[in-house]
Amino acid sequence: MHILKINDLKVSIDNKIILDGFNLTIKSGEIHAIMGPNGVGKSTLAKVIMGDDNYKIISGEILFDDVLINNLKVNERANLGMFLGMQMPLEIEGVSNADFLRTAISSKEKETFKLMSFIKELNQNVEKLDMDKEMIHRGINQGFSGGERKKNEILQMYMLKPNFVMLDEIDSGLDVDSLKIVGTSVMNYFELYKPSILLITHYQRLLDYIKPTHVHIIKKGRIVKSGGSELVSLIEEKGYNYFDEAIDE
Amino acid sequence: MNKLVIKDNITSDFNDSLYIKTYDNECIKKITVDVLKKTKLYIELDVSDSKINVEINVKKNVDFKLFEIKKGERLKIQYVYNLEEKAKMFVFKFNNTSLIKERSIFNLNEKAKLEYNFKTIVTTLEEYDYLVNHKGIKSKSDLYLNGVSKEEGKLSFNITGEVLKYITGCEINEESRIITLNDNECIIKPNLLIEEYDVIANHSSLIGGFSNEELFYLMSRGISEDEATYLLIKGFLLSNIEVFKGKKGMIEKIINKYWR
Repeated sequence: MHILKINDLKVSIDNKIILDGFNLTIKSGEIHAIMGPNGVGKSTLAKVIMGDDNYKIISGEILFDDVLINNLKVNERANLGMFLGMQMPLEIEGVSNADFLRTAISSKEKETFKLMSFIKELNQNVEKLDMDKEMIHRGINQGFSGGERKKNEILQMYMLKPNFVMLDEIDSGLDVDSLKIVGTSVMNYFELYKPSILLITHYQRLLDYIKPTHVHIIKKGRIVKSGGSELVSLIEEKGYNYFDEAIDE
Repeated sequence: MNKLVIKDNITSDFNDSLYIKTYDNECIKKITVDVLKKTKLYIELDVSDSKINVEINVKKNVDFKLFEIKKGERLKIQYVYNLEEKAKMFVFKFNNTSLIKERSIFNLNEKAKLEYNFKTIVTTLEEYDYLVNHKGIKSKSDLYLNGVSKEEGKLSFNITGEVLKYITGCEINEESRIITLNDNECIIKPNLLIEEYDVIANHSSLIGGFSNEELFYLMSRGISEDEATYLLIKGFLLSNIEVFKGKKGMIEKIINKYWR
């Protein structure tokens, strides 16, 4: 069982407060969907948890399995089993996807890393995600469409087997078929490994495939409403402005 | 593959697609290669304290691919590449040298095409001048110059693309990037001297480190900062090597000497 706890977190970037009084606890086997309009701090939350040093933690704490991780480096957090599927995965020329993944996995597994098992597993996962095998030898996300980039993030998740997964708008840029493959793959991963998942999304359509156990609405840098999947229908019906009252309360 | 080795002596092992003339004395080595048919050439240069002139003439309609790897110190080298009508030349060049002044002149005739990829790891002073003369209409040039400056490294790229009046339909592209891993000054001077309106010309120049976003992305998969930097450097110095895939290991060994 793994637990991520965020206590009274206050975060800024360029002297602008993005998160303020943010609290959240996520356990293994739970899927938390974070929803909210643009610019309220959803992506900031994911990046701060992952350790992006562009953001400054002013106060509060992030604990992973009761260990304070506020000052851990990005790779140290990843090696604890944390993973961020990015909203806009970068294109990095010259570094092949295969080289990148091999380096990442050998960093994690160290002496136990076995090249042949790695190649076999990589090929299986590429097939499962309906990706072109040739893409794995191209530069990271080089010449990939938006959908292919998102699938590449899911491929990395399958290869790295994290126990705490954050997916930042993994549905953006996906067509209907790709959305189904990505959504189903995330759910299969969840069924297989029972990680905790933090899902950031604007839209209900991703939640047709990934079923959250908890839904949170974030506005003005903090959670203003939490509940179950019924909240998703309420958002669809009333919009995010409906929850402004919760901020005032 | 055809091979030309420039060390204390000049030796060549060519098939009938290439013709070589050499001149070698204590002051200067001169080499002229005529490319007569579609082919590939591998040049290995390993000399110090030398002046070298290399001229490569790619004949009409000939498709030529050149891989060059160079080491040595205190070198002054001039290359002249003459591309005749509809000739095509792809170059991948890797320098592992110190204290070098290198000048390259490209003369492109009608519909000639050039792709030039240059990579260097710089730990001393290195100066490179490029002059691309678009002499014929519809000629096309792409220059990709990549350098990593570390320790006492100082690197300069001075690139000039030239198109005279009435030389229409040409395309010029100059992309230069220097990764600085030290505080020394590095310089890129991109010049486009164009007298004709019907030309597509682009240039980009970038001096600095790798971006935080690139490092964050790699580190978010558990890769340490040092290892992420090594991966980025390797990618930077090996980009566009696909044509000479078999030579990749050789360059990786050189990179590893600096970063492992």
